[in-house]
Amino acid sequence: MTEDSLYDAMRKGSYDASLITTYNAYFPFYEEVVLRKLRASGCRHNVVLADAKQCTASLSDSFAAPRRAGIEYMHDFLR
Amino acid sequence: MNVRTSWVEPPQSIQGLDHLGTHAPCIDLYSRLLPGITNVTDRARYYSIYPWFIWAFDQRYENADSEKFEQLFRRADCLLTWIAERHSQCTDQDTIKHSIGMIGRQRLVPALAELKGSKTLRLSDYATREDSANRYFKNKLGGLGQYYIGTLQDLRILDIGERGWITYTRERGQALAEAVDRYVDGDSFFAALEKDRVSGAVLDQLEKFCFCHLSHSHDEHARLADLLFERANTEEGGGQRRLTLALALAGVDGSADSQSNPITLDDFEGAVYGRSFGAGRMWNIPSRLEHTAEAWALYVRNDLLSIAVQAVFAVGLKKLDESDVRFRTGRDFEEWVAASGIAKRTSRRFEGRSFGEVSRLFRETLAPIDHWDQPTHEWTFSRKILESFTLRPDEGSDVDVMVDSLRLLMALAARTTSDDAYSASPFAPGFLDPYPINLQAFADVVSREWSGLSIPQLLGWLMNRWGIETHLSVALRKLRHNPQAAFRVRPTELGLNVVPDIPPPTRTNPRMRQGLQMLRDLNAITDAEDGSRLTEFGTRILREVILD
Repeated sequence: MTEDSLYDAMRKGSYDASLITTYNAYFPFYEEVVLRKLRASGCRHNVVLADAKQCTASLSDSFAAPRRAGIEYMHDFLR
Repeated sequence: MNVRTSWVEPPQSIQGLDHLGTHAPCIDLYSRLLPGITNVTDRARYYSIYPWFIWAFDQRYENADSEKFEQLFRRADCLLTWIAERHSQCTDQDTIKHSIGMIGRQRLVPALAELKGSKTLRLSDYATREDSANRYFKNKLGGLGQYYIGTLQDLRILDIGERGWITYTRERGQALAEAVDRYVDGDSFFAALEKDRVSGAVLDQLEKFCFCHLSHSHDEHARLADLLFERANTEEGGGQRRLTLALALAGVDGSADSQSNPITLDDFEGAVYGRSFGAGRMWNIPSRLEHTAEAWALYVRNDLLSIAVQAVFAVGLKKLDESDVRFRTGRDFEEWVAASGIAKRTSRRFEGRSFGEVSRLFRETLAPIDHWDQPTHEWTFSRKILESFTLRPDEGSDVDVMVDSLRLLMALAARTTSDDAYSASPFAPGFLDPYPINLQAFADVVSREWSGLSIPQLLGWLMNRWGIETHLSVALRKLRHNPQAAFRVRPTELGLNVVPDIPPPTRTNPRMRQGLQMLRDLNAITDAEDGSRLTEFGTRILREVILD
């Protein structure tokens, strides 16, 4: 399968919304890198659907817990 | 809607620098203290010879294209290094005076051995841009393009011309070029470049291009001295370069009776930090240079903090890598460290006391700040840490590194005298925000968080919060600006994963090695068998600055 650069995709811009589904959830990466780039390119409606177990683990880690969820993007657990 | 399925391409992994963001405050401090000289601008005469070459080329090749310029420039870069090295080998063999830090030395110096009798060397064999074993430099404009161009533009010596070429400025670059031209034989130099072959005799004939001749080229020397000492309306950064170079001169002057070896970067750093030349030999710093000396001491203090924290991080990564346990989070690792063998062995060296208790007792044995060459001084602890990473590491050395790092931190805490850690040289507002490990934060955690922690708890805290967590924040911030991953540890669904090649602690290079070399180039200081001394010119310029 081919590989696509997330950076190239975000650089192209012109997105109104993003929907990210993921098993492994490391929120500092999403919030500090991906979300910042998305918002900077004008993408205002951003949603993350992540695996419930992985999310629960993140919430218990004071460093890796989501800090901007519910404020700058929507976030939900999936089972 | 067009749907395509693919993997997300991972960012390219790089080794990276400054993994904890501890170098950045140091770099900002020394950049402000010594502007106009960088870690790669090793020799003062390039500041005049490069504009001279561009000016002299313009005089001789009015309608030449950029290809011709690059061809002759690269040959000139090689020729200058050969002239200086040949002059060194044929006279006093003192490379510091002649050819140290000259461009392409690694490739060019061995070639000189072939230059015996009537044999010649072909410049273009080394100046070639083709990938060959002889090529002296990859950058198309050699040392100028790689090292000097930005600095010479900042100093308004060079500029970008109308055709997009590098050119000289009229007020500074041309004035320097004409001063050089009054001393050297430009026609012979360009004849050698065109002929493309040089013999020993040709190199000897061009001796005046050797960098040791700067002090004999009086007009050129005067203009470079004006520039570097910010005299005669050449002030760029509020005169700070002038004050720092004068501080170095004052250090040489003050240590003349007690110093038996040529002054080094370490001598300068130790002297400004301890305000002494070691063993309590006090340095009476001229009042005009007082503020500059305080700012340099602040830089050294920040660098010492940086070394200690990096050392703990390096050992932490090693322990994480060696462990069979999978740590889901940094906090899990922190708890594990606090109960680990290395933490217990380190704690035993402090008799099981808390950080607060050990710190109080430690003050009684800590060497006075002016005895920076003593074994119980933070300067010595920092050198031991750096050396331990160059020696063969073993379990014993890890504990030694932890003990020395903690002692270094305790010493820095014991010397704290001001509520505002950076009052000697404040940063721009917000500068420290992305760099959470700094002297201000250090003062806060020492008084608020660390005093009640046991040594094992503190090691866990340092390895995680000022280690893994800070590193991840720094690496993520870098990733945001550049699609290259500098992670030394990665959070994965299987836990924290150490990336190979654990970075050892490194000190920053505050440009003063280059600053001292420039003072030698200007013949302001000279090295003798019994140490460095001010020359008559150095004495005069020091007096001029401190009586300003």
